[in-house]
Amino acid sequence: MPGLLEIKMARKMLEGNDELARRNRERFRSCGVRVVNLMSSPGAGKTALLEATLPWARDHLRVAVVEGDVATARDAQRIAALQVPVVQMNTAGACHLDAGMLADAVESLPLTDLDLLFVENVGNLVCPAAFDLGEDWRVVVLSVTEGADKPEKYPAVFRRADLCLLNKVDLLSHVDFDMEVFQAGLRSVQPGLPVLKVSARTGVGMEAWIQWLLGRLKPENPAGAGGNGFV
Amino acid sequence: MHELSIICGVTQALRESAEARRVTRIRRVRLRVGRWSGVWPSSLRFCFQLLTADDPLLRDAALEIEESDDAELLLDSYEAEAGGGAGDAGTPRDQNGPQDAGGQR
Repeated sequence: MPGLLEIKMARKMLEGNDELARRNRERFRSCGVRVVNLMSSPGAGKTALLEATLPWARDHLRVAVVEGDVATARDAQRIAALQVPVVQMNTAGACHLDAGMLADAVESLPLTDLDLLFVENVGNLVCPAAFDLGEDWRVVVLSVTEGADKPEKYPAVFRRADLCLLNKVDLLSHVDFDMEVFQAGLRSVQPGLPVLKVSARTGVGMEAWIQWLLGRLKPENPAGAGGNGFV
Repeated sequence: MHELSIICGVTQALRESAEARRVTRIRRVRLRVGRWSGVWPSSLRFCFQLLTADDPLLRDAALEIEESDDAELLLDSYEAEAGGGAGDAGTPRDQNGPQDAGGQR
């Protein structure tokens, strides 16, 4: 019986992605563009939120969008209709965007001419949380139709977020969404995570969201200052 | 859902390290999986079996998964048969110590 040799690796399993994310982050910084990673389950309203945000953003900032979807270019077509530069990524079955995909996607964008880049991740409340893209801020969108228990059921994405947008609040009177349960769940996962109640459809709360973005974009908030996990 | 790609990365790292150390058989692999990582230990085990069944280096390796209270996904260490390979696989606790010769510091 030969002896056993123990070999210490201490290597991150996602080291490959983390290294690419680090390169993305460096590149975004050197180009002076800030990046928001929008995450939610399918149908929570990420694209609708962008449609409500971009007409304002476009007037004040140089902005572009990367759309991640398993298939179709539908979301990119919706964004392009607003005269905002957009790149559609199709992940061909993959459940999340990774840093390498984002590096490829931004190749066709004029990064040095941008202030803000929105990355709409693949609709999924689980996998995108594990993959750092090199973004400055992670924004998780939850809609009231999904139920108030989601922060506790899908903690990782809420735990690493810099902001939670509670969308479709215009439907609150039609659904059994218990605000107390939602807030208690969020507190147990990440106390102090800011929450903004919005409706992309009616425009309620959109001003607060825009103010949040503007606050982040001030020069005294350097890129990557989110500091809530990956950075 | 992405456990397969994670295990692909793990087996690749193990193969590279084993080759650098001229190890031909790995008996134990230790992973650390954070409960906030969004990754299922049971899926990792399934994917590990799937990917190593035909691989003489890894097919007899036991996968040990320690769960931690964070979001970490770590390939911690492995145990390999010493001296069973192509002549100079190294001896237990050789002069370089138990560090990974092929890894990055």
